[in-house]
Amino acid sequence: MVMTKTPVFPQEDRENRQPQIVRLNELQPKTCAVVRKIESQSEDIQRLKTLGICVGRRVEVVKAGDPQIVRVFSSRIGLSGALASNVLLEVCSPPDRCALQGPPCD
Amino acid sequence: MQETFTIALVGNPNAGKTTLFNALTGLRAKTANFPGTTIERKVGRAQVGCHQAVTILDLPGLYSLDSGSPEEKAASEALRGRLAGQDAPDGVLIVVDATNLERNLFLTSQVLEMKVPVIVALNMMDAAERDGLRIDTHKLQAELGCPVVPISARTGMGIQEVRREIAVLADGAAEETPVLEKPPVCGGCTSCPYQARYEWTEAVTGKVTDDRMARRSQRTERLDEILTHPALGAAVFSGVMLTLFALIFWVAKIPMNLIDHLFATVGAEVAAFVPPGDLQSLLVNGVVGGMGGVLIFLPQICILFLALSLLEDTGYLARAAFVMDRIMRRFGLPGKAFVPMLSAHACAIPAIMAARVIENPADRLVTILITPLLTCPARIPVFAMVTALLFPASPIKAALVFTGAYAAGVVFAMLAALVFRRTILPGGSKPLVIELPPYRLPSLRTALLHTLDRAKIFVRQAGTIILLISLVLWALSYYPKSPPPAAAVAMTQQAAQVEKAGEAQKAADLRAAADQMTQQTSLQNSFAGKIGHAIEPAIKPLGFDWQIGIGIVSSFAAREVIVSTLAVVYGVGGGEEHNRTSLYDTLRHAKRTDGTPIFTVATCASLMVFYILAAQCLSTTVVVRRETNSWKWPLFQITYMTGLAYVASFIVFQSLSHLVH
Repeated sequence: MVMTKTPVFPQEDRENRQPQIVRLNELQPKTCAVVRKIESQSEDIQRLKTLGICVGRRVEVVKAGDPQIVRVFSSRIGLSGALASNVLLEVCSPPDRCALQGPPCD
Repeated sequence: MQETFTIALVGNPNAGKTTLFNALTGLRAKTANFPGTTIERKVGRAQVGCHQAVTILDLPGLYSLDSGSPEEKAASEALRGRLAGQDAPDGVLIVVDATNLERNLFLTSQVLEMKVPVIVALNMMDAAERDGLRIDTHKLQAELGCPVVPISARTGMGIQEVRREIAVLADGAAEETPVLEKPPVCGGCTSCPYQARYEWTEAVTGKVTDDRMARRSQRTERLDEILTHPALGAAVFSGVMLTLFALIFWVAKIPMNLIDHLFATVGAEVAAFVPPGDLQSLLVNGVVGGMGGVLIFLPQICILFLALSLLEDTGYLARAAFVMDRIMRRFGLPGKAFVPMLSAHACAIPAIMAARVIENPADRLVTILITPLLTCPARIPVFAMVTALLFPASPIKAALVFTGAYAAGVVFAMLAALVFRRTILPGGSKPLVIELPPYRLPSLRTALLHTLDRAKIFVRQAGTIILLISLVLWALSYYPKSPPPAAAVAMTQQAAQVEKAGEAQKAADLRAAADQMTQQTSLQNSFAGKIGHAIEPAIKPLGFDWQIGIGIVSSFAAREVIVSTLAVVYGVGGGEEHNRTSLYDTLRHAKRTDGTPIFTVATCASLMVFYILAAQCLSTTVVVRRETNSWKWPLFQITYMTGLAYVASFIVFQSLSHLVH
């Protein structure tokens, strides 16, 4: 995918690793990731943001599929794949090194 | 406007707002729509001090004040005092779920910015403790700059403290609300206001929560493994839905029969006291019959809403919507439309009321519009009549026709949904975004209060109009009155003579025959009879004559009435069971004026199709009006369904009458 070659937020990683950017509907289950960008401004996307799926928040896919189940904070959200594909995330890798501790975006 | 202190109750969905509202107000609550909308709000009075009562305004559950949903718009307008006929509340009571502070504080921060006095009720403290979360409420109070009361609405813990805080606020004794030290939104420093606000909620949560002992509850995750599983989840879903259906289809029959008997008894009692005549008929057939016709719906409404409320409270309803979403979406419907559509096979009225579980207005409207196409039991007597006429000796063919009728209802409902989605309500169903709350034990008290609320709304807002309509329908079939036919008068005289001769049985038979003849004549000469004659040219292409026309007109009270009406029109007498066979015999031999039989295969099939598709239940229309808050949609519904029925019946009758000879 084009996304992995040209990161949405070009930034120098401390260990010279390219941040791994994926779309929420493609995120593997039990993997933690941080929302970096949300394409689309539709009303449905606003609802997602209100529920906490917005830039800077850490999310985890609890159950893959369409619709999928996503955990954000301590709530679980059922989400259609069409909406989830608008959400771009940076995967926390290795898993113990959360992307949130990386340089803040923007 | 009243001058009492008004406090608005706001909170995220699933934060326990309704439970707290019920705990504070009990049975003294009223439900009404926001002016000009179909969004409901509850208003109740709560005793907060020894001599002090305040008004509590329960707003719809919301996640934020500025997103686009109609509920959130109405709630935020109400908070700002921008709704007609409603001042801004004097204070706000926010219910916050202690187990999900980061998310819940988002709305809290928005309300705090409105500079109204705020009290935070930190709910589900028992659940937070069980999860090992320790929340320092004093610190949180300092962070938010408003009183924070730890509560558990379900167990009643902390409710007295909430009352006390409201009393303090109402007395005007509250300290000046300090301004938030660090306002969560700093304009300009970021492009995303959500991000800034959530960073604030996370920071506050981090400061006030000690989660070193936290142990994530595994219960919800394990249950979800099963309940949202493609195969297992579908199996559980089928089981739950079958149980729900059995409850409203079979179990509800018991109280419904009781109500039927009760009103029949009351009618008989009234008839015994009031001399025969206009007043007797008005009271027995109009008033008592009409009231029975309203209350007969209550068992199904109550059972459905009790079950739905319990299912929602446990958290299962959200999973059911999640599981069904993929299938329903193909027809432009949300997953949540499944429950109303299933319930419609028991009765469209509770089903249309249950469409309230669908948040999106367009999704809900499509569901309401197609629901009456699904086959309800009121059509069964009609199907039974038609199959008895067509296949008297073949139960298998009759069963096939029944199955076909049910399938036709589903197919036409789905097709109608697809058509509406491409025309008047364009766009697919809203993409699924649904919170799956943790599984919890449901509260029977909340469910019972909710059920009572729905029952009251139905009787008050729909029942009165349904009663009025049944009075009109009674008048149509009773007036103008006509004298008993000469033959009937002669029979009655003969009966008197026979009785003198000691032949009581023969006399009774003669009187019954005379009564039938009188009923037949008076119905034929009534307004209903005249309407039947008047619409004959219109329904002739469907294979119906004026007598069936009267049956169709009378069906507006309820579809099954056509059977007893046809019995009267054809002079068979009341719709009792032992008369069914004689009715079917009579219908089989009924002739048109030109001597050809009326109930041919083509006419029977056409009548069947008409009764599958036509909008004939005025009670449904009244409920649609109440649920959509306008006459536009119920009128549209009658038009499209009857138009569809007319065209389909026309095609069936014309093609069959040319093919079958």
